[in-house]
Amino acid sequence: MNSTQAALLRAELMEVAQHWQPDDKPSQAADIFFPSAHIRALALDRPLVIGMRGAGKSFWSEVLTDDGLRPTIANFIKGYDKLVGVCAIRWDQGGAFSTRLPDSTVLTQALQEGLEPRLLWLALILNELRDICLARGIVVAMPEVSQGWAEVLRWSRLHPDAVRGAFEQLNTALTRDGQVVLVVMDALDRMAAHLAQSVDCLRGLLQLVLDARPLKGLRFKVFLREDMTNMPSVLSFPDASKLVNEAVYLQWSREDIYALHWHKLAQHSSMFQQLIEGHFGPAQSTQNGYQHKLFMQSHQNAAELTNLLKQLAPPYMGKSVTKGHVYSWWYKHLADGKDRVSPRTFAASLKEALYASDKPNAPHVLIPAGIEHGVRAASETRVTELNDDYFWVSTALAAFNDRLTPASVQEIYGVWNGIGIEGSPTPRLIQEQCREEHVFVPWDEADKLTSPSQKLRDTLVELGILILRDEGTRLDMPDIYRLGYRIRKRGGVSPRRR
Amino acid sequence: MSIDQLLRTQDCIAAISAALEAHGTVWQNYLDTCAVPFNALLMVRDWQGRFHIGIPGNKKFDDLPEEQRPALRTARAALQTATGPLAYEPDLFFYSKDLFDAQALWCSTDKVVWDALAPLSVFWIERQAKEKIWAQSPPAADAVHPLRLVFFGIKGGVGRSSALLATAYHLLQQGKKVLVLDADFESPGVSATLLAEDLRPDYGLLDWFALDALAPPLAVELIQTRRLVERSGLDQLVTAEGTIWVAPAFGRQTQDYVGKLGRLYQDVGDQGYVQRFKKMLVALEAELELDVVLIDSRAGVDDTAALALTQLDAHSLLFATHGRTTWSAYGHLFTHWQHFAHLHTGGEDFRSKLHMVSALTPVDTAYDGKLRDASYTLFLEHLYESLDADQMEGEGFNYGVDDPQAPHWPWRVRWDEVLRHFDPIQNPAQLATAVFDKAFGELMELVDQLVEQGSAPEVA
Repeated sequence: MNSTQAALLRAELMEVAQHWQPDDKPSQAADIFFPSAHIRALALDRPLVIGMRGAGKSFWSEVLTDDGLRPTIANFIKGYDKLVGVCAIRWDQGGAFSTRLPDSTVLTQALQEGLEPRLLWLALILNELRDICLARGIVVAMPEVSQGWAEVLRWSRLHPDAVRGAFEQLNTALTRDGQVVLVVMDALDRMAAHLAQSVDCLRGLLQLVLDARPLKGLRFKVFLREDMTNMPSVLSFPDASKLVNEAVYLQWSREDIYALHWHKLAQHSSMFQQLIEGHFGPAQSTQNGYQHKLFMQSHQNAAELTNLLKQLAPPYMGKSVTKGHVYSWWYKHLADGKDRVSPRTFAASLKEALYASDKPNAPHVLIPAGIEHGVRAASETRVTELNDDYFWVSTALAAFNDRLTPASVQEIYGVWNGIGIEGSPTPRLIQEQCREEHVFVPWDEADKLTSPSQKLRDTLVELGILILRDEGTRLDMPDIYRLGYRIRKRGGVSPRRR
Repeated sequence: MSIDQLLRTQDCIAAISAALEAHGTVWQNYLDTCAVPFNALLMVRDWQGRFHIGIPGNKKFDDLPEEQRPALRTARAALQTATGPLAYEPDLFFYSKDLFDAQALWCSTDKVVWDALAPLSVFWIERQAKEKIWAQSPPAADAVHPLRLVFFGIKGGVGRSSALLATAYHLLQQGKKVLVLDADFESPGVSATLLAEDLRPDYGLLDWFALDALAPPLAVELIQTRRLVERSGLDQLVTAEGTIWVAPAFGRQTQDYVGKLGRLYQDVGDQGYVQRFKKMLVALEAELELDVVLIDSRAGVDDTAALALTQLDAHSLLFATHGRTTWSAYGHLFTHWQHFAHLHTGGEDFRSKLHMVSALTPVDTAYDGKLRDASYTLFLEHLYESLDADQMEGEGFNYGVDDPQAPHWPWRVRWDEVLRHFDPIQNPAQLATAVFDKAFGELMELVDQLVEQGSAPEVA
């Protein structure tokens, strides 16, 4: 490819990437991309799906609840042909003016009056299943939402057997007819944000899911953020470990990440399609979008995916291999402490890399300087996302200001335990802030054996923001966060002055 | 004057460096007025370890307008303070105009750029023979030469020689022409495993050094008549077209080994041990038309090893087992390099040619992680460059901990009972693929990479 061809292809790809939104919702079958690890996440007998921010929780809950998109899944995954209904409880939908779900005042009130969390969930679900029940002649005596959620929940508290009975009847009817109803739960963090009893609610939900495992007619799909299941108190009920054991983690391998984005670009770029077909043969199908075998079962296609990148970029980041292969370098520099890259992060870096490679006479579609720029930009995006999800992280990382990573654990504990930041030790400050904001305190407050600083440290390590090194004596930070949080890195030699 | 002040020489160097930086502009302005080659400061360290600082011009700075002299005097006083009791008595400073042949000193070929202070031009001249090699700048990449691999261990007994034999055999299987140099003169050995006693050549490398001092043309002849090398018995085990040449430290007719060893590191004429070793190496490479040279280097923090590691334009395999003594010993070695930041001038970066090898690796993933972290810390604290908040890994010389391209990345050699006495000529079963690959497979990946890189030279 000469620089003119590269410029033309780049222009087309930039045009495609320009329309990417951080919260891209799938709108057509072509948008659906199946990393092999996610097929398991959609299986009907796997109720718990856990993923970090941007891993695809809301994407899949969107696909599952969209009547137009769901049939696509049926081709891939067993049991979806039996689905007669999907009920979605998504706390990211509606907002202040929607009555689809109760607001936090009503919820808090109901729970304070003694509504058992498990029953709360049953009531919310039953409300969604009214039509399905009605169609099978099952009477739902629960008041309509038009009478107010407070009334619905009060009634449920007083008539637990009626609520449970309706479910039992529904399950029996569905099982008899070989039918399945799927209950999808997503964006539970939004609910928690306004609810003091969020841990109890979450535990109640998980208990309900556990109880529902033997049911053939009702299936659950609960999407959770990883920190929600990291809290021991959420899982402090009998047999919780069974649930966790079969949970599916939404993981993206390096190959998945590349395949997803090439797939997305290929949908709308005929030049890119030609390039792909020139090297890897014709597409599988163009009926439901552009489907190429290169992007299916991507974990088996590492060599081909590497090869495709070599058509777009030089093989190495530097003049020789010493700076690393572009394929591994790019992923590595976007990875968090647990070697994970979220699709959203990669999308941001790819988009910016394309723009930044758009230089006169650039010999490739993507040039190393452009990719570096992309990584930098993605780091900003990632940190912004992180701050949205866990506002307290920047409070915790303030300890690294004017320090270098890797930093000594004891030194960081020293700062956290001191009163340097806003007059109280950092873990306590975070606890207070979390209570004020009604969000989860990100560690187990009941655990009295572990010091608060260690709990904070462990949480940050668990989230992939920090890495424990040197037999637990030093804390390091992956580049994706270090750049975004503007922290310097240690080194024995000062950079050469130029 | 205290014990600590005299022995903590690196603190002193740091202080001098800081004093120069603090008055960098004053010195720079002054040096700008001086003619080449005197537009530089000289840091000279003598045999006792005392400092002498060479300043262009004269003591009173007569060449400078009056009003500029006080600042310079202040800058000079700061150097005096920084050097403290390690300053030569009676006068730390000497001046180009006071010397009979200042030109010779300022143009000394021994000098090394102290480029941590760049753009300020400061040269370092080490008069202390033992340390001289350490402080020498690695050469710009040599003219074309075969891939050179140095096997170095900070401690002995970690399977370094076995790994060298394995590498030789691996390359032989690929049809490569290999030379094994037994340059562990103080404790020669690797050649014994490669050559049966009756195959040992007439003379050894040590004889070459003796001859080179007495009659250099005969030293050339010694190589050209191939009386220093013999083919290894391993050749017989493989049908590929390659070969393994062995150059042992001593030959069958070598006499007075200890006496020759005592004279090994002497300068001969204007050539130090460094130049002589390279002369021998280049001659052997030319004579034997090699693909790869494997050098068994002396273990420990030692200047023979330093030579091989910094001067030969070679890739160095640094063997390590995880333990405090290993890392503190490597720490001494690396600290020395760190203070001579010139290590990253000229040719390909010397540091990028270092490769850590995890020796005698047990089957224990926790061990792997600990060793990797310790290796990372060693490189991070000494040879990697620090990063500003907006610089990502790879901008400048630094790497992430889990980057397999990084020098600190440990290539594992697995410990295996079967390989306890690795002697494949006596016991060819040790070369069985299953045994061999399990122990050396990962290291051979690195070797293959280096061979591939070596055969496709980087285009600037």
